[in-house]
Amino acid sequence: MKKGGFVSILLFFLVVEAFYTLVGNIIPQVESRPPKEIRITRETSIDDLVFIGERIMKEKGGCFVCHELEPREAQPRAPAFKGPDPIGRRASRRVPGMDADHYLWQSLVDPRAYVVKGFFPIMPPVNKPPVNLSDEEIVAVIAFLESLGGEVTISLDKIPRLKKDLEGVKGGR
Amino acid sequence: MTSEGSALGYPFLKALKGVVKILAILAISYLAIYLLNALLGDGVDYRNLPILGSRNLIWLVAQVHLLLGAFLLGVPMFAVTVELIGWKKGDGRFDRLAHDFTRLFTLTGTIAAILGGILLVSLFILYPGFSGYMRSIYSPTWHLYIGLVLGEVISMYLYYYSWKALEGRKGMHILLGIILNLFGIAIVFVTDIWVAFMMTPGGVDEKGNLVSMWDAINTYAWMPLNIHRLIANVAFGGSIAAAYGAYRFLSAGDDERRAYYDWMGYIGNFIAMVGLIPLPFAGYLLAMEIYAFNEQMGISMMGGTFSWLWFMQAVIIGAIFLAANYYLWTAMEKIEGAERYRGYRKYLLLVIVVCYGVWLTPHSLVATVEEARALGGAFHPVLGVFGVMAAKITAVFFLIMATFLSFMLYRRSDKRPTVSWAGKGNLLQVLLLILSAGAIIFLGVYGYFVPAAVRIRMSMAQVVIVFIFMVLFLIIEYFLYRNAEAVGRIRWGDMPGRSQYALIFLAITFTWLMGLMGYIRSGIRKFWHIYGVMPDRSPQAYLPAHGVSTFIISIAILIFFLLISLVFWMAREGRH
Repeated sequence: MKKGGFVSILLFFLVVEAFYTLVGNIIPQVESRPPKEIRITRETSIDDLVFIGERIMKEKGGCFVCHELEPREAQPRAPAFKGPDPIGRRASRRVPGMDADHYLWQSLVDPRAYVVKGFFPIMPPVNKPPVNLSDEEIVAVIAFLESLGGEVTISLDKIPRLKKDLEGVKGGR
Repeated sequence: MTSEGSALGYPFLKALKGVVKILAILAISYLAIYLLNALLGDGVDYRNLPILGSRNLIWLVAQVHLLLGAFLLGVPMFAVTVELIGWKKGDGRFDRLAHDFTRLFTLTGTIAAILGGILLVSLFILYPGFSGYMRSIYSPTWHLYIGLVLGEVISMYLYYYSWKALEGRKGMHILLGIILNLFGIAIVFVTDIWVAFMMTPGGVDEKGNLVSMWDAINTYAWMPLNIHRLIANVAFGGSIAAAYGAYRFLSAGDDERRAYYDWMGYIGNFIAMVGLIPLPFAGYLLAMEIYAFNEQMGISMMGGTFSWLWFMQAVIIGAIFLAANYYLWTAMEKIEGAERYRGYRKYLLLVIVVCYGVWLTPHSLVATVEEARALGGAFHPVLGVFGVMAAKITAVFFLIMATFLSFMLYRRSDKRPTVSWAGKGNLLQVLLLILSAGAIIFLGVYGYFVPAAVRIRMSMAQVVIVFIFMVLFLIIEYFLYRNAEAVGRIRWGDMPGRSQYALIFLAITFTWLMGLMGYIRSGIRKFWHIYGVMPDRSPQAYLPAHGVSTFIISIAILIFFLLISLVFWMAREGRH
């Protein structure tokens, strides 16, 4: 090797490495931590349930990867929750004979049951891994969705009834 | 006796020594696991490594091991090809080149095996719960893997050390090289089973119990990962071999060596580019399978936590294309007759820079409220148009086509076609280029007006167009230049030092890209060891900030290059 040749290559190597590391440090820094366990009980107020539901949707549920609150995108992956006919209002009208609690529960645990026209069936069931929400967490999510333009009627007490009513219900598009 | 020895017994002795070495590393690893488990106590799912952290240690060791393994498996593919070309052409230079490549990977083998042993011990000691589960599922494939590694070592040593002894029976020697490659490919396929299962598990029930071994092997990501890694290994191996050529060129004391290593660098870079061009297509296939497995996983990969790392990927791949083209354009200076084509370089540069710019444009900008208000939203009114995938994918295809054309210009620099239809042939190629470019732009623009799922299918059409363009162009080129006359000669060795730094830059950048993409691929599992089956409950079950992850990637690349420099030095000194 010519004198200083190896040192030149080494310095060149370190400059290239430093450049990429620098780019990695100047782009917006994102750190992703696992969602914290949230305790939901019968004593949890409706306001808290709504607040927790929104947090679950943002964190553990990862719902906003596809959904949006306000319809902004020209080609959304999934329906927005607000807009002129928000989910809290339209949920009770989506399927004849099914109230908002039943419709939302069914849509969360079996998202292919009722796919909104114009969208693809890409949503995973939220009660199974990897989303893996508990029954209480699903109730919180429904509470948040119902709060968007509608009345919050869901509660933890309704869980057994909802499960029983929806047993074997296949839904339809 | 050295590799130049002619007795056939010697290669078998070396192969035996290689087998003993691997078995010894394995035995030491198992003993270390047993003793450390006895010392630290059983019954835990995690153990924490102070200061560095368990996850970071595994990350570093696995990354360096994988890079060495990629080099080890990629180089034999083109070493055998180069040897075959030399045999068929009767050109001793190719044979020497293949032998030099082989020297590099035999030296790398031992280091990779030691790193593999460290990885095995680290996994079983620091993540006993996860490692135990994987062993319970994949025990048969692990034993197969050991058998394949031994087969690889035997064939690798036989291939290298029988070079001289089988000089008169080249076909037999090349067959040995092919066997070596079959073992290498099988190793990639087996290790990908485990990695693919962690990402897109199959063959197990909701509680993680094995239901079908074949389904646990043939998961969504398995075959795309195999294809992607095989191509990437060739490209990566080529870039490292080119860097070795550059290193030897820069240290060469005479013109003969400079000419040889200039040629070696060129061949290495050619192989790297041949591997690089189909790589985005293979990556696309892998991404499609990830979407097919779990749409949310795919969307998180492309648009969630990792979106800014894709920006980094764009920075890096654009830099690779720029450096590769720069090397070719510089190399055209040493070709007599290339002056006919030098004028085209500025247009190619323009296309590459514009496409690079499009690819770098982020979809949405991180802006303050005032800035966003001034922009009229999160998207820039003009640049925002280029930030979407429809524009980016189109730009990538143009980058590929521009690089392909640079290669074609380089290739025909010292030749002139003699066929009577040369003018028409050229015109046909130009028409082909215009039609293909037009179709790609049309599909790219149309992509703005259709849903994402349709756009993805249209991107596949763009892939097919680019592929057909290159194949048809090459067919015409082959017949056009079949009996071409030479208009000058290539002055091998007459290259500026900066061109060699371009090769070294390519090797560093390619390696860094592998580190980054490997992190994204692994990171999309988020807080799961095995996505949806086994959650990661360790203290380090989170994705670090991008600055931290890129720093760890840089450290891994630094360790890899220090080790590969050792290989370069030993190869140069003729030590083994």
